[in-house]
Amino acid sequence: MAGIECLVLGAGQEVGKSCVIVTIGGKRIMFDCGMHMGYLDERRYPDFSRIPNATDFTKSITCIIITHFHLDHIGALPYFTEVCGYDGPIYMTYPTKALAPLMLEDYRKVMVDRRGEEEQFSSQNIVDCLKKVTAVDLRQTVKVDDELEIRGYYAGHVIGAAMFYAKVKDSALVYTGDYNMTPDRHLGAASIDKFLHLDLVISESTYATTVRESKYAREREFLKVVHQCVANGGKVLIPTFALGRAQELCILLDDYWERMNLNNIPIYFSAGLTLQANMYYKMLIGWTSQKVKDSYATRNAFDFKHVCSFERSMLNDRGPCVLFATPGMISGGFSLEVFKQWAPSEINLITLPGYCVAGTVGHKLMSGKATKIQVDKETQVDVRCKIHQLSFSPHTDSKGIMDLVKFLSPKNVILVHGEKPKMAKLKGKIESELGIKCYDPANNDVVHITSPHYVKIDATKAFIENCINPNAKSFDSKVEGTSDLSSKGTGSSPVKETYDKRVAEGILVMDKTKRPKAVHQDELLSVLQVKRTQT
Amino acid sequence: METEKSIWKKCENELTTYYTTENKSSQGHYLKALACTRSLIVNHSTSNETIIHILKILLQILNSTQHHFHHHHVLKLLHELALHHDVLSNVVLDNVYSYVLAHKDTSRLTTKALGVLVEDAKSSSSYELGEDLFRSLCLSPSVSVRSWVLGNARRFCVSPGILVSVMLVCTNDPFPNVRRAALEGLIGLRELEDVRKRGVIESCYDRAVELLLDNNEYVRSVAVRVVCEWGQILAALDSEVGNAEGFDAVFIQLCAIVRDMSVEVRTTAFGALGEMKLVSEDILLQTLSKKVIGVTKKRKISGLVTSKVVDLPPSNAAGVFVHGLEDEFHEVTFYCVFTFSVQSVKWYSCNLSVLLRCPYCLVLKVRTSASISLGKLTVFSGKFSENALSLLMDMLNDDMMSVQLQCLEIMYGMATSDRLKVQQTHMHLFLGTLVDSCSLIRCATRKILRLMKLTGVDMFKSVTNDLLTNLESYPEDEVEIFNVLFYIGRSHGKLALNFVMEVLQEIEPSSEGDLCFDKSRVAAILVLAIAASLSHEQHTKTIPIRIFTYAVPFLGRISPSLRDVISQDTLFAYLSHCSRSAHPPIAETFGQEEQIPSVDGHIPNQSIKDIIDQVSSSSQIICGTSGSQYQDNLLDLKHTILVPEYQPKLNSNQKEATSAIVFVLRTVAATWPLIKSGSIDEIQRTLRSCKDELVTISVEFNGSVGFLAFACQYLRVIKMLVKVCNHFLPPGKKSMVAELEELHILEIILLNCVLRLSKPEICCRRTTLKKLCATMSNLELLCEKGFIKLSDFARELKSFCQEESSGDDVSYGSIHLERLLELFSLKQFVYSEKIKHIKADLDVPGNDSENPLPFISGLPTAVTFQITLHNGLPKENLHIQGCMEWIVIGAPLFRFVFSEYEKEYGNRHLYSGEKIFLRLIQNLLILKDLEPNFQVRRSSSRKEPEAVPSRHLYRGGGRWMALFFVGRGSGGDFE
Repeated sequence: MAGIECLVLGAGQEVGKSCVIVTIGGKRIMFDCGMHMGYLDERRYPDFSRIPNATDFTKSITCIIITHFHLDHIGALPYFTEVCGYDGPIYMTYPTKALAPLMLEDYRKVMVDRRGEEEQFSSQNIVDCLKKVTAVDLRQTVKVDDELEIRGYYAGHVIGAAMFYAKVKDSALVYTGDYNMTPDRHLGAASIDKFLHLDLVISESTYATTVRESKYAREREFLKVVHQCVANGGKVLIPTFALGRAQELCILLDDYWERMNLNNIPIYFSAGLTLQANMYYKMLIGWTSQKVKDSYATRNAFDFKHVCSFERSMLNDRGPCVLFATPGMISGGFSLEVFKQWAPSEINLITLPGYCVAGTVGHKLMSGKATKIQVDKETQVDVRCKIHQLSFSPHTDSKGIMDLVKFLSPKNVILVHGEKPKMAKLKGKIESELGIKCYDPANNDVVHITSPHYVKIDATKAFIENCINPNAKSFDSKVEGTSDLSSKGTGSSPVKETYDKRVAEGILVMDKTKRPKAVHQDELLSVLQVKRTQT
Repeated sequence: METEKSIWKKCENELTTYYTTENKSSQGHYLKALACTRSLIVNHSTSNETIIHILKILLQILNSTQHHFHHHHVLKLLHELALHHDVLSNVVLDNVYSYVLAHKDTSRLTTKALGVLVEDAKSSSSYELGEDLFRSLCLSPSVSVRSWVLGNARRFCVSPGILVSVMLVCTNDPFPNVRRAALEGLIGLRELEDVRKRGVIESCYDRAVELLLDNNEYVRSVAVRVVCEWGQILAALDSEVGNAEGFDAVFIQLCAIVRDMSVEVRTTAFGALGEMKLVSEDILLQTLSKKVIGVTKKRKISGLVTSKVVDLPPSNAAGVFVHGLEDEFHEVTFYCVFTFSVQSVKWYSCNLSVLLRCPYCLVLKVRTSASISLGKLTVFSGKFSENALSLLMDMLNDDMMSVQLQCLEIMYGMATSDRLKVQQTHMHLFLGTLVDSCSLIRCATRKILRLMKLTGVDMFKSVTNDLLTNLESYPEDEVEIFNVLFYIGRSHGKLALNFVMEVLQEIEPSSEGDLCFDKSRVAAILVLAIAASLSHEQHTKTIPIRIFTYAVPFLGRISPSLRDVISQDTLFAYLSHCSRSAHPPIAETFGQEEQIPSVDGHIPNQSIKDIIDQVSSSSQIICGTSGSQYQDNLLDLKHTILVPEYQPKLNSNQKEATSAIVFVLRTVAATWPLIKSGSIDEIQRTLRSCKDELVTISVEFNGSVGFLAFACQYLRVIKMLVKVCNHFLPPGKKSMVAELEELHILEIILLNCVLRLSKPEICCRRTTLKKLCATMSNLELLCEKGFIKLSDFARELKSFCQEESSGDDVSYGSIHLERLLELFSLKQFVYSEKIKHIKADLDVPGNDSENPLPFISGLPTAVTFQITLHNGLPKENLHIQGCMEWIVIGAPLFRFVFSEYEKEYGNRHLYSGEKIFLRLIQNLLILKDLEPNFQVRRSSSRKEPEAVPSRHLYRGGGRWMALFFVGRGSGGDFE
């Protein structure tokens, strides 16, 4: 069947549990296998039963491709492989494979050990699942089978994130996953080849309508508040997720500290995941931005000069400091503990990530001038410190999406991973400005896309040579045409004819074997086995 | 000669047998023969006879119809031959030309042959490469031939019209490198007059626009250039008939490609944007904002593509510079910053007075005539600069120092054209650069601060306070900070006055009566007070008189930083006047009745009025109060603010010093007769006083350091000579003619050798003789070149050398030597301004008496060292070689030879020798006593490294320094 069929199992008009099943040229690929963090019931997983031949996933699905290690892109993978029983090939990049178990294990621990929920998958499941994974490099073409080939491209976003190109016969598509079109302090911008004949691009659209201004403005604001706070002797708490943001902010601060000679003010990393993550970043230098790579010869950018590790006893030490602590939304753990201690003082500062889930302390702080916050039943915290909201984001903005779509210029675009009204706006923009058909399917919707069907023909050597070499005939006529021009000295019409695309000339012959064949005109007689008659 | 012939014989044999028998087994020999032949051709000393032989054989092979495969080897050799032997090049080219005509095929061989013809500049005119040939080559099945032909199309005699259309057709080629070559060809054709017809230009532009979407990044990047070049030609044509939108269309077209994924393309695109001669204001504004702004939303620009009508949305330009500045690849960022500054500067120059001088005045005139008033332009430019400024300010946070510096540079440009309007929001970041750990950045920031207009009290306070705290963190910047404070204080007199009054207590003696006069902060406030008082006469009244009194003891500290505005004497005069008179210095009364005594007793012929006038006139320029006057002074700002009497003083100072050195040299020369008469003590006294003289000169001499260093060294040599002479010498008198410095030195070296030889127990006879002969031949060569007669001394020595080399070594010829010494006479050294002083410092980092290098006895240890070469040589490959002698206590001398190649490091040359491994047996290594001994050689690719005629080592300041005079090898002067 010609065409591509897209079944959106997750992240259709929402953010969370990314999962798209694409049927292309008879092959079925699952892009991402994420979980929704907002639900605790069966809605947290994509509805796998909708996959055709749901009884035997291994047979039904040719391969799974994971773009990066965030839980909303990989969270359901152990469940799908170990519980649902998929046993086919899985592809992801090396860093993703390295960091995925950290993420999955951390999640499992939080769910089971802390909240005492029912275990969805065990530690062993995670280990077994990752054994099935084939790690790939960027721009490495992998032949999954005879017809399907896939290739990863740098996507920015988080370390190891990739966009994937997949091609079966004449149909080809790109699944972007999450990506970032502007570089940040530690990761580069997404980069992909210019393809011809791309039938479909499936793009994220987290910021479908937002246009973000220069990152320098964000950095300036951030550095200013932090510097002012420490200059006044205050303490800065930066609750952050362990991977990605922490490293970016830390590079930023470390560099600033260096330039401003703030040697006497320590930057602390709370123990735990972050230090381990830093180690991974140091090893995965090849996946960072060009600047980090360039400076690597002299200094590893993740060897932070001013950063030292933190001991709990230092919590109430005197003097200014900056502290990175997990988790990002101050939902519990160490960052909450520090929050309780530092929030009551006016000179201190707490930065908040761009997005906080409702119910967390972070969300309460964000939503207004909460002066008193009920942390748990017994304790109430008097918040007097300054609050600064970060606006860093590893997702591309709407201009970036437009730029990428324009660069790839596919025949169709499907938007996923975004909010419905905004996606509709972006969809309209893509259709009107770029003239490309665009879809924004909801979960469990199917999108059919027709792709051209090419007929294979044979060609003779003479014909191919004739195609590759300049077409003498058209060439001569052009040259004469211009000589006309130069003799007349006016008129633009003759030159314009040079616009004709070079057309290969040949004759299509279909013989008994039914396979059409293109031959050069000189060969025609011999192919047909007739002799030239003198007329 | 003989070897040469035998080599060629062998080669010839090999070549001819190879071509006749085609015995493939001998391929190795054949290639070797080819290589030999080539070296014969390239070698300049090969005799003509052999060359002609070679030529004959080569042509013979070329003209034989068989073995086409090997013709390219032959062609290559012929090419070399034509290059290296001008006389024969015509013969070669004739033959190759006929070869091309005879083989009218389109193979790569023909291109190879054509390459020979084309590369020779002379041949291109004399050998006509016709249109037919060109066409057939363009149709060649070989891709490399096609791209070669397109690259060299200009060498063919083809009419431009045909060239363009052939190029256009070739932009359709299936192979990207052919497309690329065709596009590059199109760029080259844009200057041809015949091509400048609208139709042609349009087709070229259209095609390039299409190729902006090409699959291959290199094609895209060349297409960008074509769009830029041809688009502007097209737009200029359009604007002649009143359609001014053309440039915008091209600009937007280019903006569309700026987000390309290929670094190459992005870089070219930003470069191309910078080349745009004209862009309208709204589009330029749009480039600074990623959000589409209102003005651009409404605007519609029709593209220049003629084949199909396309609307170019101006939103393409949205945030182009923002993207560029954020780019991951610094080359893109650099281009972007550059483009940005170019466009900004172009933009600022939209001022009538500058307009006339602008190279693009034609275009701009058309633009202005399109009913856009000048006033509106300035308003817009103001807006643009405002937006641009905030972007630039943000860039100060970039992690690359070079980017930061570039931004500061642009801001300085804005400040000089009075367009720098810094807002309070930017101040934190901007002032942050003041405390930057890099001194370059601090310096650049202060440069801007000097010119900056501070709006409001808050801004003034924050700047001043930051500068004052800066003084504590970077005391080494004191001079500059005072200077900045002075400028700021003067241009913001009132604010400065208020500020000074506020912090007055700080200066006052504390309750215990301590004056904290040693504080730099106090000095800084005093500077501010002086500046405020100089800004306006009125302010002098307000400032308490005692402030000026306090300032007097600071004179020595303050005046160096104000040197560019006010001299120390004048400042002193001003201060002492202000502190004495209870009344404000009103000019009329003061100027007539009282003259101020200055430090050293003479009376400055300036009244206070003059001082204020003088200072304020220079300040006016800096503050940019009057626009037109300001424009003229923009370029030589430095020049105008220099107090006039200052510069000639410098010059005369230098001349004086040079003549003093010349005088010293003359005195030195005059001592020679005294040496012969044997009054050694007297000579030594003279020489010592000469040396003292030189030391005095060196204190205040900042002119040609080379000459001074040379003089010192020279004096030293002579002094030692005198000492040595004490032991020999029954003197005599002779004169010499040579005036070249090098001759002079060489003779001294010869003398040294002779002296050594005459005391056989102090020298190794053979080495000395060897050196003597080498120096002698050097000298002879010099004399030969300069047609200078050998001195008697040298002539005698020459015969002595000949005798020595031929004769038996039993005769020491001490009588001979004595006579030689008699013959020698020292002449005055003539200074010819060619002396260059090259100094090298050797440093072993991390080694001093307190923390010596760690090592374990008996094991090899690594010593890292650095050699810094000052007054760098011209950029040639330097080969530094040397040996070090290490003194290890209780052990014999160690000697290590190292050799390193050059590393460019700023304008100095820094060699960091990796590591020398030493095996140390004893316990202590005293690195302080290491004695490096360098030789710097220039090894340019062609010549052999040259030896250094003389060098000397001396020790200074805990480091070892080597001082040498590098001669130009066999002949020539000191440089």
